[in-house]
Amino acid sequence: MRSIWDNIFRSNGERLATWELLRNIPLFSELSRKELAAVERILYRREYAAGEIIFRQGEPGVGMYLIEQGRVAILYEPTGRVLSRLCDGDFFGEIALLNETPRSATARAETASTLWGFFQPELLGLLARDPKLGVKVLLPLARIAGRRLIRADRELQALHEEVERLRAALPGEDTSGGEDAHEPMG
Amino acid sequence: MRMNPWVKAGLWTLALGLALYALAAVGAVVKVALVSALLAYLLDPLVRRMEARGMGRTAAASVVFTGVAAAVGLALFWCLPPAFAQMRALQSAVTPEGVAALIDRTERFLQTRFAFAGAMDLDLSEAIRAFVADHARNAVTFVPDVLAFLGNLVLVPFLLFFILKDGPTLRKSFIAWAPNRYFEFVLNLLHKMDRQLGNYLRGKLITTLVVAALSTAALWLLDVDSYLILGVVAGLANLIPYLGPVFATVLAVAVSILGGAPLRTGLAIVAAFIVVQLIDNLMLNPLVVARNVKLHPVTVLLVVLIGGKFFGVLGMLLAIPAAAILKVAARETALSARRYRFDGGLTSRVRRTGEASL
Repeated sequence: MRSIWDNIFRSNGERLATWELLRNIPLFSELSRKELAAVERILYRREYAAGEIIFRQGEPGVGMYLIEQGRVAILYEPTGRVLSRLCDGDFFGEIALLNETPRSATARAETASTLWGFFQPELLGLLARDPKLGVKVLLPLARIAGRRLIRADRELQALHEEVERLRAALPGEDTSGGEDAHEPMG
Repeated sequence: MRMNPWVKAGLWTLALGLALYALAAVGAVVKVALVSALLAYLLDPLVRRMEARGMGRTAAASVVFTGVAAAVGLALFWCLPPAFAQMRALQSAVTPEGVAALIDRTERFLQTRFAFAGAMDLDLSEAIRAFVADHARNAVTFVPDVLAFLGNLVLVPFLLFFILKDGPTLRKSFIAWAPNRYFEFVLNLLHKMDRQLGNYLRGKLITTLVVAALSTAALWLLDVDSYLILGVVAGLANLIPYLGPVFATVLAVAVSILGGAPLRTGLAIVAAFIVVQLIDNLMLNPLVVARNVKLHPVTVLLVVLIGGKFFGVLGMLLAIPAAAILKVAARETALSARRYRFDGGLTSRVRRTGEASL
């Protein structure tokens, strides 16, 4: 219920403050005050209680979340293994912003958190309406996504080498049969 | 503070019931708001196109609104006086006696040609005479409708402008009301509905306008007296597949013959309306991409009749978009609700669908 009253009674002074909050998110650090205001218009500011699920693995994903403040855990479901812990200024779910795909993990707020939701319909609308600003938002996103891909690639390579090493250590293993090695990504 | 779920459900039901009651109580206002919202939705792409050229939302909305208001105002200015004159001429031409004579002639004609098919006892005259008597009574109730119409002439543009200007903000605050659990679902649902309905509804609007304009022009060229009224009726009737165009043609031929036109004109009207149908089906319809919103002709006919029964002529017009919206909403809700696990907890089993990504 609280968020409704927040919307009704939000004064101009507080509105200025929300732009400043956006500026603290690295993705938007390059944007001018006017551009931040335009971006704020297409983002959804959401409050989550500690322990609340943000999205669940397997559900359709249509966008990403940026953390204004709080801590979010990314979990792999059947085991509940924590894949990573994110905090202020981080973002997650960015691939669903560009491709509509099922969520590959569950996101849960570990503390009371304030997130900004950024979704595909709004991104496509922004790109059509103001392509210049759209690119200014997309470019850093693509850079960070690329960096994450390189890191994932490196981890995959390390795992691959580990498998090879273990396989070689096994006595009497026939390695000529099932060659299912992955091509390195990227 | 956590509320008992039963208390919460009860409160929500109560609130919903009260909201529905309030809506029913102020039905006329709701109708005006719905018409304005629908118009704003149809005009939204024009505003967005101007925004893409670097205009602010308010400026773009003002330009589009002024343009549309000027076009509609000019159309009304030019068409209303002749339309009223034509209406009066129509009323004096279509007398009960004239209608009865025409029906008798048609009946005799049908009986001599189709006697073998067993069409002896059509009794058309009785059926149609009753129909005409019914509708003569409706013409009396038309007067308060004119007053309401003039009121709406002020209200609808007022609402239209603000919905056009603040559309994105309104949509956003509507979505923001959804609880966290359903927030992404609602956002996605509205987006999918918009994608499927936008083309369909705008396509319907454009085909209706073009068919009305072409029919009016054709009837004017053929010297039919009430070309404006019959042309607009032809455009609106075109919304009902198969039956609508036939109805419009029969009406136009009957009215022109009652007005004293020769049979030649009647045949020319049939030919002209067939050409308009060909243009609509071969040139306009392929442009209207609406693969996802196919309404069955029987569905269209039924919803139009239901709309007319409850909300009059406006109800008949709004029935088609309403049916399309309900259909897409129901289908998309069913489709995507299955992919969200609104009941399950964190520990429930996950079925992985296709390639997954974070």
